[in-house]
Amino acid sequence: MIEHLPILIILGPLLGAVFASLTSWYRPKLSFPVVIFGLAISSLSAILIVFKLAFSELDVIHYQLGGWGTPEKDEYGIVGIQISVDYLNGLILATVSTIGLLTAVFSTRSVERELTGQQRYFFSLFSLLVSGLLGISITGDIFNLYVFMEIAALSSYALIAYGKGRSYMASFNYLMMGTMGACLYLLGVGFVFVKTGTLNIENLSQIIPQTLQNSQAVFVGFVLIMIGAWAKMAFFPLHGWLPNAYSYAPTASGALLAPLATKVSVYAMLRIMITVYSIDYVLKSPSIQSTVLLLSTISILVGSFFSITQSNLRKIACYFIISEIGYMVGGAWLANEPGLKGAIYHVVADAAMTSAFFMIIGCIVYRTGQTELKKLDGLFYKMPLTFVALIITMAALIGVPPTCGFFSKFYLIQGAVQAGTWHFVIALLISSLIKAIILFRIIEIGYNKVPNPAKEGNKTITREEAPLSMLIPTLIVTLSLILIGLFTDKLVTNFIAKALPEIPSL
Amino acid sequence: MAELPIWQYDTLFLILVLLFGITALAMQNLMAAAIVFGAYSFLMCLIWTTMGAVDVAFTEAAVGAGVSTVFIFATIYNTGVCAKPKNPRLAFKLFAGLICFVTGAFLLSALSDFPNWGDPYSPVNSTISPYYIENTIRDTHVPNIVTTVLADYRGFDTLLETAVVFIACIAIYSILRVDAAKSKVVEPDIVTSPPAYDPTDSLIIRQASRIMVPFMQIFALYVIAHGHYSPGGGFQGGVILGASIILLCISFDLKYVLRQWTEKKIMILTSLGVLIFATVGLACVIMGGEYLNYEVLDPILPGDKAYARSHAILLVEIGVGITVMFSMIGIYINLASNGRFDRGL
Repeated sequence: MIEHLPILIILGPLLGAVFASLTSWYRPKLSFPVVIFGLAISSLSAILIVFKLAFSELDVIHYQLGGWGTPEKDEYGIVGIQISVDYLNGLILATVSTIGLLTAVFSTRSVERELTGQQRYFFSLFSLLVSGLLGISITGDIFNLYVFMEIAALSSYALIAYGKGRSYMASFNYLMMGTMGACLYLLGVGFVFVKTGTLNIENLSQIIPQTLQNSQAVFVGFVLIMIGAWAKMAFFPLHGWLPNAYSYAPTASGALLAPLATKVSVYAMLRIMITVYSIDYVLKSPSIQSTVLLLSTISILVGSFFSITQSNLRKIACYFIISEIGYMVGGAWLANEPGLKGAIYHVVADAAMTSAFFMIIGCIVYRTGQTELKKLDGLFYKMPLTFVALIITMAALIGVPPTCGFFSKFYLIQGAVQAGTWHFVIALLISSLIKAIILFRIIEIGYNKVPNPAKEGNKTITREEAPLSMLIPTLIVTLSLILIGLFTDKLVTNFIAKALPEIPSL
Repeated sequence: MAELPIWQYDTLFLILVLLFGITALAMQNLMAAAIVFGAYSFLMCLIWTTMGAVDVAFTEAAVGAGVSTVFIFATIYNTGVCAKPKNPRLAFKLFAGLICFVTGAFLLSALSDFPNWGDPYSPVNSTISPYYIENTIRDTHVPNIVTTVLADYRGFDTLLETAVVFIACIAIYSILRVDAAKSKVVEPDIVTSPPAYDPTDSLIIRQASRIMVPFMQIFALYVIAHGHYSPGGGFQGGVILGASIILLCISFDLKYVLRQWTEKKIMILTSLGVLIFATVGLACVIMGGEYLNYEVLDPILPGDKAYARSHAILLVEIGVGITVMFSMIGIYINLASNGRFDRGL
């Protein structure tokens, strides 16, 4: 069974979703355990495969679907579809599947409350979204990546529209941007296919850097694929859809989409940049590189400045995502070793941070029904554990050691200094500063403003945490922020450093 | 054969496609725009045919020109016929125009780098196409190469595309479905303003569709089953099967159809198709091969290894057909009845 681990990562949630949709007509209560079972299989396989990678000599684990790709059948390995796990996507797979599982556990109670009577297909769509995201991360075929993109996108439109009311329009805007992004990506894939005759990423990585360096069609394909990925990840100036989509969505959808969907698009961008086109290719056009770096700086600044003007915790979190996307795209396009390390590390770290943030918001919504910053006074006295988790998450977002946020920022700044991109360094620092201001504001409201119990007619302040099924996943993810930070060294030397391509010295 | 005057046709199609596209965009009446859009799809269908992509043309005809037009009609029935566009500011128009122009110029800049049309030495025609052309019969005994590529060589993509159709159906169901009895929102009763004539009264339409439906279904089954030898397969056949039931919905009424195909049946069968496809794949794993490696199924399917692939392709196509058929019906009923599953177009 061990050789089937790669496909199990996708099949778990996919089949789980199909079975859940069947059982929802006979035993609606069974849908949830079925989905959890599927996600658990996927998460377990992903973790096993990461260990297999770490403790074996293999650099990459291939899996040929349909049994094609054996040398006697097909000498080039271009006939079938191949999925593969290497150092780059192993980490992403483990992160995505684990966060997916935790979020599923987390969201039962809030789905029961927010979506009473209409949750028939909620967990099916939830599980399909996870399988789509895992598929994008695992596939070794650029067209297959597009199909997974569609799966993830369609299910996320539905998950956002579950919020009713304003979420319809938000979801529609997302649909427009997402479809445009996917179209551009597909067009780019077409351009690449015409010039190379293969869709397999490994083959492309041999053909493009060697023989097609100067091909205009391949270059147009590159730009189209990049713009497509940027639209999907809400990179400035294509970010307009994100704040509304994620903040009007139901809590459970937001908690799944916000940490994972954008990060997986960043992974897709990294994969195309590093593996398909190679860093040489990226460095070949310095004007594009400096434009992208400038855009990431603007993205960071726009996200940060908008976040400080918001009075709603969910909106703040959404604008944080936009600024974090700037970190990752900028890091990747610095195209030097520390920059890429920082970008890859930050994909994992930011998935955990955003997940923790949205879970905490979910807990607060569940108990108080509020996310307005003003209404959260005395939160520390009502929900102490949640509040402490919020402080830790904010600290990680700012970049306080020993949380993971510190190390990604460390690498990114190192990379920017090495490349001499000073505006990026300044943007990173300003973004940290603004996050610190928001942290102090939260502390002021949540800790210094002691609520007056007499006003509500009670004798003492009632301490009421969110139910355990929500609190435990939240705390696990929050603790992981510190753990990822503490094990940074191991992560970087065992995985991220090995995932890096050969970088030409300047 | 003498040289085919292909470029004259191509020019004609190009002009017509542009004309229809612009007309569909400019029209205020959405119903008319949908019909023009259907015509546009038929033209695209002809273009695919001139390129030799008959399977794609078939799908375009069934999906693009056929059911998607019906879906738009069903939506318009519940929303309104006239678009009321906000007239955007000039600056906005200029900006949008500029973006279109730059994108178009950028795309065209790559054209000179493309291999010539039909160039036998182009990368695609010299690496991947020859493999499919030379080895399909040896590998699967299926004469229609497109079917093999779709369901076997790149079967995983097809499984996922089937899942996409399934997701589309359950997504629309989740967004639109309301319990008519429980919903407190009082929506304007669409039936209180009766149309000029009652379509259910039209004897000719009802009898004509009653005669047509069985033939449509037989043709659809033929398309699914004969996909190995001729253009066709699960997607096209499923769409035609779905269209036959949609025709019944339109010519009779929703209640008539829902009496036989209840909401529960439709939605369960939608997921069942994906399940069939995925289970065939899983069976391969259990028999000791890779996922979707139909070859290892030869102990339980008749014939040798290549025939095992051929038979498994049929099984898989049936799964695709079931999902597509019931997704089409599910989407149509949701759109036409505004999620109430009681009455509608």
